[in-house]
Amino acid sequence: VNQSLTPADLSQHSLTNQERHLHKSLSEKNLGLAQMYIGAVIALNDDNNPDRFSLAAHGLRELMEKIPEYLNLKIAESNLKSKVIELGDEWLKFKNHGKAKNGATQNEKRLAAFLGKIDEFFRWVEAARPKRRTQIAKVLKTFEPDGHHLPTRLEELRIDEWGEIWNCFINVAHHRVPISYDDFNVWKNALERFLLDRLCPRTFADQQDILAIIQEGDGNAKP
Amino acid sequence: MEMPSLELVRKALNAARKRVVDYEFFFDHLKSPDWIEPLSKENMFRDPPAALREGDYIKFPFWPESKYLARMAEHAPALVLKVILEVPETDNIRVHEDMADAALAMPADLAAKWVKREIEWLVKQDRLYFTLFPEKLGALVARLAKGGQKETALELAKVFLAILPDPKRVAKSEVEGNVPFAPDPRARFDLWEYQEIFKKYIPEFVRACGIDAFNLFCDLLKDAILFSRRRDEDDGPEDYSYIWRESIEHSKEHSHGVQNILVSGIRDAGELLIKEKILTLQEAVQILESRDWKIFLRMALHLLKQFSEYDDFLVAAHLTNYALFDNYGVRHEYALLLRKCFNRLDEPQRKIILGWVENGPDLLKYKEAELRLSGKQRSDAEAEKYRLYWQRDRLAWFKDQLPDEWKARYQQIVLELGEPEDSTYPFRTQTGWVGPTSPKGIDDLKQMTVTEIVDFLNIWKPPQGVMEASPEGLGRNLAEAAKQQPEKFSSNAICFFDTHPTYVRAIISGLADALKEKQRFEWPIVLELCRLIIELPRSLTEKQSKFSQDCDSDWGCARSAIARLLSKGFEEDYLPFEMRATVWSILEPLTHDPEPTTEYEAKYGGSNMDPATLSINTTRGEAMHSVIRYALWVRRNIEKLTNAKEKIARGFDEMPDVRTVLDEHLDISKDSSLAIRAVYGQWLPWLVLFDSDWVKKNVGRIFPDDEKQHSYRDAAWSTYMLFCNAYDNVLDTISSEYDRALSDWSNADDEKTRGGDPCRRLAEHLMVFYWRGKLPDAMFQKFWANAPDKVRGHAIKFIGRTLYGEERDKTSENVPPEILERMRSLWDSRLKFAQEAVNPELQTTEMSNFGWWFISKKFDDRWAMDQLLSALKISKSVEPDHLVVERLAELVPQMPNDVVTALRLMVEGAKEPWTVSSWRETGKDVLEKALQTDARQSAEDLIHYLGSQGYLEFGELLRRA
Repeated sequence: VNQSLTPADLSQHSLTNQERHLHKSLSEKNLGLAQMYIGAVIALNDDNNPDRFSLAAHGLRELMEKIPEYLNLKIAESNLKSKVIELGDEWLKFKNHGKAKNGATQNEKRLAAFLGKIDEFFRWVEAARPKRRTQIAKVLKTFEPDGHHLPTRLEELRIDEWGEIWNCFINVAHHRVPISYDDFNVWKNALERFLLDRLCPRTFADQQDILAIIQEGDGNAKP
Repeated sequence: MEMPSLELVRKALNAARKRVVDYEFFFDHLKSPDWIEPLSKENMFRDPPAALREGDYIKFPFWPESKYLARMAEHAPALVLKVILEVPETDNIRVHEDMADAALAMPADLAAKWVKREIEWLVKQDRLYFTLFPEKLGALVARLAKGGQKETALELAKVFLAILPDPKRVAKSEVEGNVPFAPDPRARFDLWEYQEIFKKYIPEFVRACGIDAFNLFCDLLKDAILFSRRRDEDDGPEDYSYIWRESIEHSKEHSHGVQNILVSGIRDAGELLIKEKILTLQEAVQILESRDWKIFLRMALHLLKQFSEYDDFLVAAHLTNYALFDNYGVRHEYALLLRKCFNRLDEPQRKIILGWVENGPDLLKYKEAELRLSGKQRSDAEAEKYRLYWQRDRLAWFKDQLPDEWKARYQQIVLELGEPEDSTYPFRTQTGWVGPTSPKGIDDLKQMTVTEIVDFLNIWKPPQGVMEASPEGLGRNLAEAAKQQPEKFSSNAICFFDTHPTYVRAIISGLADALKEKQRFEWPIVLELCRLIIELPRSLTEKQSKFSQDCDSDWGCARSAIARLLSKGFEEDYLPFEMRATVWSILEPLTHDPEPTTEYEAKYGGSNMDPATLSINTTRGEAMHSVIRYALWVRRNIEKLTNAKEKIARGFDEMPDVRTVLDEHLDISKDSSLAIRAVYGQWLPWLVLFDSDWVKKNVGRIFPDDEKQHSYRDAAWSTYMLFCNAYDNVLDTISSEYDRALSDWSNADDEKTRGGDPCRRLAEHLMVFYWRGKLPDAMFQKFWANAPDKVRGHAIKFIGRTLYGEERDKTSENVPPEILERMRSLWDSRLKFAQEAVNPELQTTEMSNFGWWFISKKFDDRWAMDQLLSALKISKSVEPDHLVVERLAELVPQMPNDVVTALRLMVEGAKEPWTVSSWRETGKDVLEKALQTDARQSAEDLIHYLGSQGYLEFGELLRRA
C-alpha cells in the first residue's frame, strides 16, 4: 500500500477508463487512498484467487473508511482505552467502598460519582465517536461549498446510498454473503461513480441532464 | 392541466442530490408552477435551512425552494400561498424574504393571509438582519393598503416599524439620578432602510389608511421620545427637540436617529393628507396636539403655516396664545407662522402680539436667573440692555410685516445692537467641536505690540460659562501669532514671563512651530525666558491656580514646550553652537522633571498607551528625547572641526554631560519610568553611533536580565524593534540581545494594533541581515527553529515583498546573483523542512507566502513554478492570491499543465467563497487560455470542479470552447 504504482505498472493491468480515472483522481488527493483502490481492483481481477471478492471488498471498505482521514476530519478519536480505564477505576472505587460498609451517605456519594462518570463517558462517546451516519454526513458535506444546504431528506438518501455500498463490502469481506462478479461490479461501480462525482465532478454536464428532465416535466405538464 | 409525474420528480431529485449546487440549479431553473404540487407531495417545502450561528456571526443560507415559490406566486398565487403557509417556522430571514416576495406577487387578499401569520413571527424578532426583508415589508404595507387590506397593512406597519427601547436604557427604579448615557431608541432594522421605506412606500400607505396611518406614526414617535428619555418619570412636555430637530421643515435624519425620521414622516403624511383633503387642518392639528411632547406642537404649528389659508381662525388662535409666543421649545415654528401670517391677523390680534413685544421680558425673572446660574448681580442698565436684545430678536421674526412705526423702532435697535442672526432658532447647534474661543483674534494679536498683548493678558479675566472665551482659546491664537511673527515675539519673549503659564507655553509652542516652517529668530531672550521658567516651582501660585478652569494647571506643559522647542532648535542647526552651555543648563534640569511619575504611568500607561507614546507626552520623556537630539547637534558641530575624527572617536568623553544623564536614568532607583526606558530603545542606533563602547557596557542595564525587570527590557526592546531599522553595527554591538529575543516568542501571539508587532519586526531585521550576509548562522538556525509559523511566514513574506518591490521599482538595480542564490538556498531549506515536518499544518503561513517570491519574477520560471506547487500542496493557499493568478496567466503558454494544477490547488484550498471571487476574472482568463493547450482536460476538470463549488459562471468557458 505504501508503494506507488508507476504508469508502467498500471499498464500491466487491464483497467477500465473509469478505474484509471478514479485512480488518477485519488492519487492527486492521497497516494495511500489510490493504492487501496487499485489494490482492490487488482485483487478483484485476479481470476486465480478464490477469495478475490472478499479481498477486494476489504480494500474498498478500507478506502471508504480512510476518506475522513485524508480530509483531515477529526471524527474518531481513538483513546477509547484510556476512557474505559478511567471508568473502570471509578467502578472499582465504588465496589470496594461498598464492601467496607461505611454508611449509606458515603455509598450514595460514590454511586453518584460513578454514575456521573458513566454519563460523562457516554457523552464523550457521542462527541468523539459519532454514529456512522453522522460521520458519513460530515464526509459528504466536506465536498460541498460552505454555506449551502441540502434538504435533510436528500441528504439522508445520499447517506443511505453510501451506507448500502459500505454494508455490501463489509458483508462480502467477512464472507457473510456470497456474491457474483457481476453483482460485485454493480456495487464497485456505484462506489466509483459516487467518488468520481465528488472528486472529479462533471457539474455542467450533469446540469444539462437536469435541464432535460425539467423540459420533460414541462412537456408532461402541457394541457 | 397535467403535472410532471411523481416518477419524473423523483428522477429529478435523484439527479439533483448529487451536489448541493445541482439541487440549487434544479430549483433555479424551474419555470412552471406545475412542479409545486408533486414537489410538495415529496415534502420538498418542509425543511427550510435554519440560520447558522458561529460565534458572533450569523449566516442565512439560501433556500432554493422558497425562491422558486416566490417566482411562481404570480402564476399560481393560491397554490403558493397554501404551500408557504405550511412551511414550518424558521429563523432564516432569507426564507422570510422570499415569502415576502411571493406575497408581493399575489393579490392583496391572499397576501394578507400570509402577512397575518408573519406578524406573529415578526413581533418575536428583536432585530431583522441586513437583508432586503424590511424594504419588502414596506412594499407590502403599501400594496396591502392599496389593495383594500387596510387593517392588515396597519397591523404590519405597527409591528415592523415599531420602536424598541435601547437595551442600555435603565429604569429609574434601578438607578439613582440620570443614567450615564441618553438611551438611543431603535427600530428592528437599520435606520437608513427605515428612512428609505418612509420615502418610498409610506405615501401610498398614508393615502389609503388616512387618519389611522397618521395616528400610528404619532404613536411611534411618542414611543421613540419616551425611549430616548433618561428617566422613566420624565414624561414631557419638554423633549429638547429644539436641539435634535432645529426645524420641522428641514430634515437632518442621518444625524439624529429614528425620532427625526418619524418627524419628517409625520410632517409629510400630514401635508399629504391635508393637501388631498383626506384630513382637515383642524383634525391634523388636534391629533398632534393631543400628544404631550413639544415636538407635536411644533409640527402642528408647521402645518398651520403650510396651510394657513385653510383656517384663519385656528392660525390666529395659535398666534395670540402667549404660551406659544414665549415658548423656547416651539420658537422656530411659532416665529415662522408669525412671519407668514402676521398681516392676516386683524388689528386687535396684532396689537396683542406687539403689546407683548412692547412689554418685553420679565426683568425680575431675568435678574434672578442670572444670579442663580452665573452668580452675577445684573444692574438695571444691564437688564435694560437685555430687554432691548429681547425685543430686537422678537421683532426680527416678522420685521418685514411690521407696521411702519415698529419698523422704524426695529431699525433703531439694530443701529444700536446690530442685526441679529436668525433669531427664530432658540439654540443653534454646531457640527463638530470648534474648540475654545478667544477674546482676541490672531490678526488682533499680530497688530498689537508685545506690551499691549502682555497688558491685555494681565488684565483680561476669563468669563465663566460654556462657549465663553477662555485662556486656552486665547493661548491658541497667541501661538499662531507667535508662529507667524517669530521675530516680534522672540525679541520680547521675556515680557511674557509674568503672564499665566498657559500663555507662556503658547508663545514657546508658537516659536517651535515657526521653526517647523523654517523661520529663524534670535535665541538669547527666548532661552532666558526658558531658563527663568525652569527655575520656577512646577506648581502654580495660588492666584494663578484660581485663574480659570480652562488653562494649564501647572508649569508642566510649558516645560514640555521648552523641551520641544530645543529639540526643534537642534534639528537643522537652528541653535548656534556657541550657546551649548546655556542650552544644556536649560535642558538638563528638565530631565529631572517629576512627570511621568509612577502614578501617572499606572494611570495612562499599560494598555492605554505604550511606553514610547507615553514618552512624548510627558515632560521628562520629551526632555530625554531632546537630550539625544542635543547629542546629535553636538556631534554634527564636532564633525565640522579639523580634528573631528579624533574627537568623534572619544565618544561620550566629548559629551560627558549627555553620558551623565543617560547613566543616571538607567538606574531604576532614580528613574523607574518605562517611558524613559523606551527612549533608549528608540534611539539605540544613535547611541551606538555616539559611543558603541558605552552601549556595550550598558546593554545589560538598557535590557535588564533580571526577570523582575522584564518590563524595562520589553519597553526598550519593543521600542527599538518598532522604531529602528536594521544596522550592522548595532547587531555587532547588541548581538546578545538579538540572540536572547530569538529564545522568547511568548509575545508572538499578541496582535499589536498600534505601531506594529515587535516579533515581526525582529523577523524583518534578521532577514535584512541575512540578505546582507551578516546574520550569524547560529542566529539564523535559531530563528527558524524557534519562531512560530506566523513570524516565519512574515520573514518569507518580507523577503518576497522586497524582491517584488525590486521588480516593480524598475529604477532600482537588480538584485545581485549571489543574494538571489542565498535566498533560493533559504527557500530550499524551508521547503524541505516543511515537506518532512511531522505537523505540516504548522508550516502553512510560511509556505503560503512563497507567492510573493513567485510574483517577483526574480527566479527561473521553472524553479519558481515547482516551488509554488510544492508549497501549495502543503499550505493549500497562497498569498497574494490575486497577483499569483495574474502571474499564472502569463505562464500558461509555457507550462499550462502546471498552471492549471496550481490553480486547482488554490481552488481546493479556498476556505471562503470570496477567496476565489477576488481573482475570478483573471482565473477565467487562465482557464480560457489553458483550454487551448494540451492542458485542456485538466482545465475542463477544474471548470467542472469550480461549478461544483458554486462558481457556475465558469461554465460559460466550456460553452465558448
